[in-house]
Amino acid sequence: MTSKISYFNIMRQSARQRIWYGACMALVLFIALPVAAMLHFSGDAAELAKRGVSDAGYILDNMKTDFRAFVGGGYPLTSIAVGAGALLAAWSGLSYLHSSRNLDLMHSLPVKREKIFMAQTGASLLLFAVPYAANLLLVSILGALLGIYEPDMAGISLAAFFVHLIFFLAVYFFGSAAMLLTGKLLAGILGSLVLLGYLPGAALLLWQLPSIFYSTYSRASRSAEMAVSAAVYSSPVCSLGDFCVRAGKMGKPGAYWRFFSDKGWELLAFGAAAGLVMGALSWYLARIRPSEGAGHSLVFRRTEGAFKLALLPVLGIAGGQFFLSLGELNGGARDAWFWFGIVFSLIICSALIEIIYHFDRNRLLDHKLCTGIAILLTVGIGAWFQMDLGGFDNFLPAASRVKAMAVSYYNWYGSVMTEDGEMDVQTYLEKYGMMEAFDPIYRLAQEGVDAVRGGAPEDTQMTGITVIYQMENGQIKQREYEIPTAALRETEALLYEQEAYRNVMFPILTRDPDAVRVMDVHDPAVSVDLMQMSSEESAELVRTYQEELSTMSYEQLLEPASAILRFCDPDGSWIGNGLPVSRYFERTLAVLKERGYVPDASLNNIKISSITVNCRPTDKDGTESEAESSDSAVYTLPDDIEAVRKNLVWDENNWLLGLSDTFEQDILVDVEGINAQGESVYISCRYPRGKIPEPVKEFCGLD
Amino acid sequence: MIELRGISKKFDDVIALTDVSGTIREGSVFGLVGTNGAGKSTCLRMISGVLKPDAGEVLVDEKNVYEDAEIRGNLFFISDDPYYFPNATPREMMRYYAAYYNGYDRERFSELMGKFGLQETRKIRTFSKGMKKQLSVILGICANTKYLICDETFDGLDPVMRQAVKSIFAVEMMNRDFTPVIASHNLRELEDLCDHVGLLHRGGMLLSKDVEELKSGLHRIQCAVKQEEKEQLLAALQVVKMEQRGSLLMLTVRGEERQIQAVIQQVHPVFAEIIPLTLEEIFVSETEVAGYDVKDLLF
Repeated sequence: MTSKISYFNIMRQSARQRIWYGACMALVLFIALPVAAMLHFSGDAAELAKRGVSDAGYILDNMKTDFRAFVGGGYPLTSIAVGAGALLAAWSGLSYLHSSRNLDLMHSLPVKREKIFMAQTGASLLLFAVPYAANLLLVSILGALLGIYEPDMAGISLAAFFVHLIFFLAVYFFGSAAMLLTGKLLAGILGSLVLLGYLPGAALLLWQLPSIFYSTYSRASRSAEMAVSAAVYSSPVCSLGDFCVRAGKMGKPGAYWRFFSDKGWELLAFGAAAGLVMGALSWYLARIRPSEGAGHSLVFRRTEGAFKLALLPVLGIAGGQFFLSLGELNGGARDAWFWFGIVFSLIICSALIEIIYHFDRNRLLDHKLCTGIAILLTVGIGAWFQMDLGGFDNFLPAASRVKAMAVSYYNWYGSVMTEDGEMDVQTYLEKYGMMEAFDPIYRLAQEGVDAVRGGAPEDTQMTGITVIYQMENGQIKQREYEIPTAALRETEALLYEQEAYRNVMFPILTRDPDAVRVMDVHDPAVSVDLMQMSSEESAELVRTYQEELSTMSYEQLLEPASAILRFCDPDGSWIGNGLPVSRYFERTLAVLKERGYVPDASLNNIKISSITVNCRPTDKDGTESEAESSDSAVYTLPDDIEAVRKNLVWDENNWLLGLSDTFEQDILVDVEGINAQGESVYISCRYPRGKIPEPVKEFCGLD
Repeated sequence: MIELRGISKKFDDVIALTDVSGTIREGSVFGLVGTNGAGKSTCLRMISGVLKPDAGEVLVDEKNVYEDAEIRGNLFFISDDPYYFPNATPREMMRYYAAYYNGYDRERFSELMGKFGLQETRKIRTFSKGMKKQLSVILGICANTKYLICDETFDGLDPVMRQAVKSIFAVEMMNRDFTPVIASHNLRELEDLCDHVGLLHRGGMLLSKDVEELKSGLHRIQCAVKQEEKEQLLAALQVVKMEQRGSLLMLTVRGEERQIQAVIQQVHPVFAEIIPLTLEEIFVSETEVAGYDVKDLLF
């Protein structure tokens, strides 16, 4: 009678008791996999038909790409089923811990408590895995019937299956730890959500605070990236979500495995590690958990204070941010709303936590010490950011402590892209833009800090810049400043003389010509596709363009471009915005001419059908005025068109801030017409400063 | 043998048991009595390994029952409100227990279910309270464990069923090594069943004795004696309690029946007889001797 009870026997008994859970998961996964696949692909086909796509090969490829991503775990509903299924398994499988009657049965059995817990875990996994595998098989059959199933998809779906099982276990162990720590089902459910969401929530809250209160904080900074990473890696639910989002974009053949070896395994490893920690904790808790804990919100009474201490600051800060945003919506004093939110949330949440703990109004003020510490901590965090006690906005290190600096401004942001295709300003500037002769940038930073300390001068147009400091001790600091535009323009010419600045301004200068393709070239009237060029021809053109661009003077650059060249990666992904082809780029123009293209930046080759003039009065900070909306006038009569097109210049060279002096900033002109090939063209143009034709002056009310 | 060694248990601020010690011998029927809240259920939960004592230990066949899971295979715990899985049938519950108790007797289960008129395939949720109690006893008996721990199991059973259960216990004790431990707040229920009784009160074991020992050591005498001989009689007997109604003297005395009779004959009573005491009366006397107000304890 005292021989050992088999683990699998206990597992079988547990599975038998919760067969309803298996049935429930079978239904959910049937909806999330085969049904969702059918809906998805029928929707896809309808969408393609709507777009007039009739190329069967294209449609099939498109469907295969989607299907590969689908079976690879890239469909949100499957991930939701994994996460929700794991939590439901933990809540249902361990609900016996919250019933003293049930515990009398379970804990009097001749089996170790931790063995019962592990058997419940095994049963939960089994009850999830079997319906998942069956539905995955159904999806594969569906794919084969649709003719979009390829051999590599079996491996991908199997990998996704095991990835999902690992995430299932990770989330399950978070739920089980919460169930073991608590003695009531509601507390267990809340606890699971707290354990899963606490760290990501705290990380995101802390990320929000500087962006709310620091005017020089950059959301694109490394710290923001770290906060997002912390959120993703600190909870298996977030890791699973991120895995799903990324896998969803990896439908091309081979892309899934590249993603897996690059980022996917990282997400999986972190999810598994977090699950392992929680699994070990759960195992230990199952061993030591007292049976009399059933019916109490928290089984280990000493943890009550600790949980309250951990929760209150996060809830207080969250409440502060919530009320701050409410205040902002209503135009109220945001700081006052922030502090009101903190105080209000602390009071309400403290009482709520005690109610959850004791359900006794006489004990609403329990855990005074922990509550006091939590209040001090919350107020401290709030004050640190709201009053900028750390001097974040006043940061300006002595020049002797700085090794190099980099600067960029908003005009560039559309083109700031690393070789990996990431739009990360800091990484890009750190890699290409650090300048050791940083005096002009340092002066800009000084002006930025002055503007923060004393406020922006009145009637001054301001421009946002990003400055990166590389300190002598190796630290990297990033700040965003509002600088008077005039000051920035003066500095730009000085900066342009430095190669490092030109490199960061024009990403193409640092690219390997053999790893870049010329996409196309265009002027107002014509766009020529250059993708047909051979790799060698393309590399040669890139090399020639790089040489001429790198030696172009600032004054030459200020002139309107003759044409715009666009570049892309070999796989067709574009690299930044189009770049100017100056009339001084003789060798580049010669290569283009060899290919039959001669740029013409004038509008002479276009039969203009209409010109739309937009008068857009701007505020001093460069944004469109809210007080006066822009007015538009459309000119369609030949005489009117002739009068209005006078002095118009094609403007697609967005790079230089100095160009803003060259053109009228408040008048935008859209030209519509037909080129020599009979194709419709739409062009953005501007008037050079002081050269506005009379009819436009009259319309815009200018003297 | 089950041995309680100075076990104590506290739930928050409530002391459930304080330094309780005692022994439950094999082959006897142990009755644990006490008022509601005396700590009976807590004591049985600790004996079953459900609760861990704050202090002391419970040894079942010399092994700590809380720490050693395997030794729990020697006992089966029937709680005061047994738990059955939602929507389960008796047969499913039997299968569940059979997975954990290697010596589970499935045939005996079917036999007993038939004798008690319970259907194996009917949903337990449709059973009456009494039927659920019967089922719990059957499930426990068929586990074939050495010890059967019953918490208030006989409450809710009608007299016929109670008698039937008692006879099953008797058969089991005769056929195998079987020791039932029965807790009840009603001493009358245990009187004809238990060999040994323990009285719990306010978390402490007030008394723990063999029933025979209790019964043979305490007697009630009704007699009528002359006044001058009354003093002689009281001096010769070990009187626990005395009441007088007119000339009728009612004494509760300690000692062997034969010796007591001899002492009574020496004073030439007008009338004398020894009346057997019920277990309840014995407890009343014993606990009053211990200085407790018995009416608060049992009634």
